[in-house]
Amino acid sequence: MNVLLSSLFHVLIFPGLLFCVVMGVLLSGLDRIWVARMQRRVGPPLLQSWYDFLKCCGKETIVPRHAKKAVYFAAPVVGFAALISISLFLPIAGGKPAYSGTADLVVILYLLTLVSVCTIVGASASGSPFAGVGLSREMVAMISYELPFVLVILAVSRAILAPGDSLNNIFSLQAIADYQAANGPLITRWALIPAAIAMLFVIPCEVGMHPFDVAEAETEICEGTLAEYSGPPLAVFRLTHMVKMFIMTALFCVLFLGGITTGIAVLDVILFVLFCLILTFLTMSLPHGACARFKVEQVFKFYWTVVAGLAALSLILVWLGL
Amino acid sequence: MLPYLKKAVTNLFKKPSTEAFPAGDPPKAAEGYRGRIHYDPTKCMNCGMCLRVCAPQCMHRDIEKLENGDQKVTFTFDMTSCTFCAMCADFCSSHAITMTDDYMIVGTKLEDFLVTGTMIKKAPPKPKFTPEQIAEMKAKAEAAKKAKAEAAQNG
Amino acid sequence: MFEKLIDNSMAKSPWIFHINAGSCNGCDIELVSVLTPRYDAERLGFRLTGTPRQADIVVVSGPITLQTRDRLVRTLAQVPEPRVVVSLGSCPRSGNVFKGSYAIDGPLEKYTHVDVSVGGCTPKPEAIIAALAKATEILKEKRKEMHK
Repeated sequence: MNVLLSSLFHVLIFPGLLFCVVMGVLLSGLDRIWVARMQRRVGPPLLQSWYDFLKCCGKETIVPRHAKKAVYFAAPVVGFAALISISLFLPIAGGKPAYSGTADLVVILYLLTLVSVCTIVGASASGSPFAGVGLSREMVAMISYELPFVLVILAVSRAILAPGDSLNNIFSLQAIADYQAANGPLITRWALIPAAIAMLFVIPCEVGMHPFDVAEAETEICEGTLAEYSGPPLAVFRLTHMVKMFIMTALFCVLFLGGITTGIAVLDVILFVLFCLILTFLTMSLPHGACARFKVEQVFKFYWTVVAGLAALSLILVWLGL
Repeated sequence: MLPYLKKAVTNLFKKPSTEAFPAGDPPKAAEGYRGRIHYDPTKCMNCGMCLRVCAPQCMHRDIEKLENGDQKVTFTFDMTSCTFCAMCADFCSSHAITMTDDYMIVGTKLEDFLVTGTMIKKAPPKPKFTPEQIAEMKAKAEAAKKAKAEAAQNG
Repeated sequence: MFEKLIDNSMAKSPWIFHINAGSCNGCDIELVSVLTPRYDAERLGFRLTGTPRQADIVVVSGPITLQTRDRLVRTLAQVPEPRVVVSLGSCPRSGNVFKGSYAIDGPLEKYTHVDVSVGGCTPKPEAIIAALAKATEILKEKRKEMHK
């Protein structure tokens, strides 16, 4: 009974559904305000994304004639569920994760891919040519950021591996958190700084924020993958987008900024939220305010040369034992 | 990209350049702005020049004949049809049509967009005598003259 | 209570979709300028969407030309309820200077119910903002009627 209750608490409240949604709304609202201020605008209210979500819930849903109905409705829900389940593996604010396993970093990698795949599946089920263009772009974007992302994860996992250590702890977020609690945050290791920079570049593309939102370019391809979505399914997609901002920044915090604790749980959570805010500003608002949308091939080229290069450099340095 | 980044960060600490409009009064339009038409029926003399120069045919004239021979002239300007070229105002010799700077032409039904004005055009004053009377009088005068001349000749 | 929350958010986040039905581009530019830093419609929750499926307010500009007529009708049918149609500028309501041309088939009232109209050729951005604000009120009313 207790196990069930605590599982329910983890899934629904902390760090599951409620916490993720609140953080997602907060981050995306602040992001919109910051971008507006960079363009010398007043900007929307803080809860604007939440209003958007509620409004989409209250709209009529039109299912296109050529859509596969079951997949069309299932895709956003599955994607959102996958995203929420990522939060259960994250040791948020120096605490223990709700669930931990041997190779949960790999699970997170798969779940993150599942979120993007759900967008692609939903888009292809809607049967619109604009969604077709959007999903092909989304695939290219996925291919571009997955390589540096995997390299970063490899570098971080290799960095915490002491010689003679068993391979049980490899790819384990708990092990990474424990290592950082003992030895200080990983970002202070200079061999991992290129990997951290690469990870900073991975975040906006993974979330699909402005300079890298090739898949949802509203001016070119009518919102791309979301072209045929309206009403509640669209609302879930928007919520997925918001929560993804939080999950990705939280993942960066766990990978590189762990071990910075004050000892008081509440203060730790506030510190964690603060890190998320700073990361949102650095990785999403600043590029949005400063540059226009990239072309698909520019994104691909940039990620496979510069970002993947940085991550690979870090991996080599770590492998050499620096 | 770097100069843009710098600009973005400096903008972050500046005041937004947004106007406060939906809260508060709408700002005044620029000088010479051509907004909603104003029609002054007291100055109008119903020459119909505006009707001829209006490209989108946005104005309509109703003429109603009254019993005493006067004409009730109603001009209607449809602001959803107007292009605000101000040709009517230019051609109006009595300056009855002027362009105001009111640009808030927003509404939900047709009546919100109509500018109307009614004036009575007086019939021209009736002549004192009818043409027959005049002809008669002329003939009389002629006859009197003739008689006078004849009298002078005979006398 | 949930319904009331949705009603209130409906007025706070109206998304605009813009249909150009043969406009001269004057009104289109003025509509885009509503989103610029000077007028910043985003602070009221407005957002220009790229697809009619996500739109709440449909803004139509231009006299309805024969070429755009069928597309206009199809696009309007794709907008989910509740929706509000705004006619921008003089053209959609009357045809403006193109009135009587063989190439146009207006006015917009022939194809849909027009909720709010803005006069002007072109309207000033302030007038467009006022019209959009009026449209959001109508949108909220329509939403309330939907779940009655």
